[in-house]
Amino acid sequence: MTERKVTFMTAINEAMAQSMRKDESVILIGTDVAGGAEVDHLVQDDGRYDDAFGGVFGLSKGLVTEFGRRRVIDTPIAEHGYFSAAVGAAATGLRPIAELMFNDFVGFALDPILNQGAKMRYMFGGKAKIPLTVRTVHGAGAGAAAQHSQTLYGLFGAIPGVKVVVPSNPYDAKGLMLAAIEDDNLVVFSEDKMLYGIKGDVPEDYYTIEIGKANVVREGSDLTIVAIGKMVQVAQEVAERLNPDGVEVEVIDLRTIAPWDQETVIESVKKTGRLIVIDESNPHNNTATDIASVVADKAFDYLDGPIKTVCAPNTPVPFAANLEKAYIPDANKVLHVADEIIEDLKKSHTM
Amino acid sequence: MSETIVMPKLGMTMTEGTITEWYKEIGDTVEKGEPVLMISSEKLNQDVEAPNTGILLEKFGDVEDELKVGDALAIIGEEGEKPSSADKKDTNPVSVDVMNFEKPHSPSDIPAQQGVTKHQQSDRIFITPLARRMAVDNDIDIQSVTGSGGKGRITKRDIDKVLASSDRQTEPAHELAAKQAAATVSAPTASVGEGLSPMRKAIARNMRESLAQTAQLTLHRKAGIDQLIEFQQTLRHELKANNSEVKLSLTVLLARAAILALQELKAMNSTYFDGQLVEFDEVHLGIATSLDNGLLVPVIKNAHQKTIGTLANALKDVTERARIGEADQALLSGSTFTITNLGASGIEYFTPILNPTETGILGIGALQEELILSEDGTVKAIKKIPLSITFDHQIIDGAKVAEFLSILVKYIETPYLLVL
Repeated sequence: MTERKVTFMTAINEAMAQSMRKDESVILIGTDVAGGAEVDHLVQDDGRYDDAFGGVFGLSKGLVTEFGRRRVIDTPIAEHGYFSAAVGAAATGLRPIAELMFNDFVGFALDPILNQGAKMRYMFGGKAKIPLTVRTVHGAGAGAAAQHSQTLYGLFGAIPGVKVVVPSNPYDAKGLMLAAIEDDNLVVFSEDKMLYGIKGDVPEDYYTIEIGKANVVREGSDLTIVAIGKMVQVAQEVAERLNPDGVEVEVIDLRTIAPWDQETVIESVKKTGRLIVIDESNPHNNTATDIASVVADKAFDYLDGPIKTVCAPNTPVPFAANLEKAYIPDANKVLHVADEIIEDLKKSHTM
Repeated sequence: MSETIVMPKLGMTMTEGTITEWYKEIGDTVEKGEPVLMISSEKLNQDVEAPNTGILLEKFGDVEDELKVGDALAIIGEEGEKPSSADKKDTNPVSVDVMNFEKPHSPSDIPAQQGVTKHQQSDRIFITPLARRMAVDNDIDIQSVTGSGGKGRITKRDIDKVLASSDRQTEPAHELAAKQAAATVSAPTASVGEGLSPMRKAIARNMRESLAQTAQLTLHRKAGIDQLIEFQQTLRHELKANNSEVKLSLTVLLARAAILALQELKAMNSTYFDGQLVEFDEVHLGIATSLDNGLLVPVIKNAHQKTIGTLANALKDVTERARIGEADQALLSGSTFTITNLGASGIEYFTPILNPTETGILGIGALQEELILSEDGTVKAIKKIPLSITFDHQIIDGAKVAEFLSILVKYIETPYLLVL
């Protein structure tokens, strides 16, 4: 394995390219995923579409060049239509990657996902499988306002039969994307747009990361912080800042939010007795509240304090930069919330 | 809201206390923690302090008055407040044991006493689930633990601190004793009987368990046995005339006497295990039977339903089966009382060890010949049999066991009762 650093976005692009090379049934479909293919002024002298934009973020750039328009399909802005096509294609033998440009547009694509894709395998008695990967984008911080900044993976996570993956770094993004494409079920792959530019070590090889398994990114004995996607960085900052107080934080990158890894989380809480879950979703009926309820039930006798969740407030994502910053969970908010459950640890450290 | 001061319990045995002195009069302002009156019990004088700041509204009793523990002594409230009659009734006789720190009903019932850490903010103790579980597991009284966690919660750290501190003064004495007992039980068990034969190992385990988990005490007494021997001879004669095969030993008759005594005093015919005390109507009699390489206790089931004859057969049957190695679990379990006989070895008195979970075991010694001065002034030789009974003092007291021995002696010395 060669060591090299690539961006989060490149890692996903590379995963899609590798799987399309490996498996002819993998196709890409979505609004602008080719990005201007066959637009006259983009056609090169040799007939290739080199400069096709490759999606609204340029993430799928180059794929149409390599795999052609028959496998990288631009659609009209008609999510219900092309998601239905993707579900049908998945049921009949293809392995589509359908892109929902922003998860905020989920309303238009929900029926094919919720009522068709997630139900067919069950209702057809296992005779059809739906190996569909839904790529979408969530997260605040880009100044994209209330309709392009939400964090809605929790909506998908509430649907039985849908797996939901939220990567936090380039390495995971590639491994989880390849695992999602290989999976015979509908997997929603939700990318935080604020992570697109971060770089990390990503092997050139084809590799997968198990869906449904969390990653303990930092071990500690006093406080478990479960974080999702971008929030893993926040958790790590909190761990660093609590270190001088003698508080050893265990950081768990959830990686998959549905089905989330109860075993790893509960084992950790049994060890530390304390839990904070950070989730950029709005605060009610989200992944964090689900984790809190399961842990309160299954690890009750191990809890040495209340379970805390740190989420976005119960409002739309504000556009004003200062308000948007205040909206997103950060280390200060987590430290503030942590105070109540680590007060005794801090006291005993100073003594 | 007015608060009632109650007569505190200053010692384990204290049931009432005497008011020695009132420091405050009705209408006086009292500060929280300020002494309101002095009380005395058998040994101690003690100031009783105000649980909160307020006006002394009412006093129940004058100097020299004796009041029961938990009785209301005074009511403290706000000026003009009319203490309701419920206030006095409200004071359920909570045992607030200063010496032993028994768990009081609610912290506010504790008069301020040194050594008691109170949770004054609220009646409720805030403790995390983990800390609560640890406290229960380690018999820690959470009333006496100060919470260092957020919002004053007791956390794992606080329980750890209690466990680590060498002097656990705040622990109730009886709990400490129980713990020490548990420690002595648990520490050596891993190696009990190691390296011994399976039977020896089982005996080792049983005997260790027995001594570790019960409070054993043995009472000794002799019973005149001439009448019983005479009775035995008569019966033997009759049996012979009837060509009966029954082997009528003194042990059978003593066993019969013991069974009847157990039916009369069922407290001796009981088992105590895992917090459950069960008194039995049926007597399943264990017979300690020595083997070349150890000891077994085969059990005569439903011994109380057997006549002397059938009991004799059953005794012969179970001891033989034990001796020839035919004893199975069914034969060796379920006894409610055990008899052990060392008479053949010339032993007079001994202290049998309880067969675990049973409350009593009767040891029979060797016949003794004694000279007595009879009523008509002549010296007469009589036979006596020494009896040793070990009992679990946790369950039953000496007087009761002495009563059992008396009943037993009655049956031995009046043997025709045995056929009833």
